[in-house]
Amino acid sequence: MDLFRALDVSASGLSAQRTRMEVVTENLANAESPVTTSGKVYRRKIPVLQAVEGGPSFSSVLGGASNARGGVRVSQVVESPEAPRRVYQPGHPLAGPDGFLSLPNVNPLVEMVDMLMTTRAYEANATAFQATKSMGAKLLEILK
Amino acid sequence: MIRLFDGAVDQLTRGLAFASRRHALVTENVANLATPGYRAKDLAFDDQLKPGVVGATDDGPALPPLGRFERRPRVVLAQDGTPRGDGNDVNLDRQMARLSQNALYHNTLVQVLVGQFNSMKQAISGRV
Repeated sequence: MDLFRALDVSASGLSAQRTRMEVVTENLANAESPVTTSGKVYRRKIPVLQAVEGGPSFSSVLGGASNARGGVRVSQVVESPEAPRRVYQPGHPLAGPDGFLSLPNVNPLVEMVDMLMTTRAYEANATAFQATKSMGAKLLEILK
Repeated sequence: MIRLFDGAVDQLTRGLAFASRRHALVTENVANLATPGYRAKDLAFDDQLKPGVVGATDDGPALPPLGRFERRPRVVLAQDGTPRGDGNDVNLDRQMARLSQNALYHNTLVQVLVGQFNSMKQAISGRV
């Protein structure tokens, strides 16, 4: 059933965009955190989206593939390799001997743009979901 | 005798199957809007219909009867635009337009199908 598959695919899109949004908000919340629980400076996190290949083939379903219906998923969340920001704050308890404090490599502007893109992508998936639903409802009219 | 169902229901059903497959592909494209390296997909339509249309005669159906469409439509790259920096070429505007277009096509087919079944019902009930 392609329509049910379409619903699953849209749901995977919604879920991936939500995860993306969580990462963006985490970055924004920690934009000024000089230290994390691991003792290091917070680094900007980047969600890596991955297309899930594979139609609804019998073997892929039988093989117990986690998401055999296609769609998208967040395969991993990586930390940005960019160097942390260096700010001169000699009085800060976490500042180095040279008086410089390392702050996260988070650029709020970039995060806001990411957030906008994520919102739009989420909305697009929700619209696609609605379209699938209306097509399914229309199909039911045959039974009337 | 009026031949109400000379393949019409079959062809409508095939059209519906095509529309829902295409819909699944469009939703997949929308879901992968931000996936690096993803290329938008679509179903090849025209070259599937062409042999049927060319072979149409005045007293025969424009589309070949059941069995001629056994080959499933091919999934092709949509090629809606040049890939962005991350290698993704999903064009959201086009995909959303295609989504509406395809849903409309699907709903039209269903409406015609409902009409076919209503005619059948009327014929069975024997009332005018």
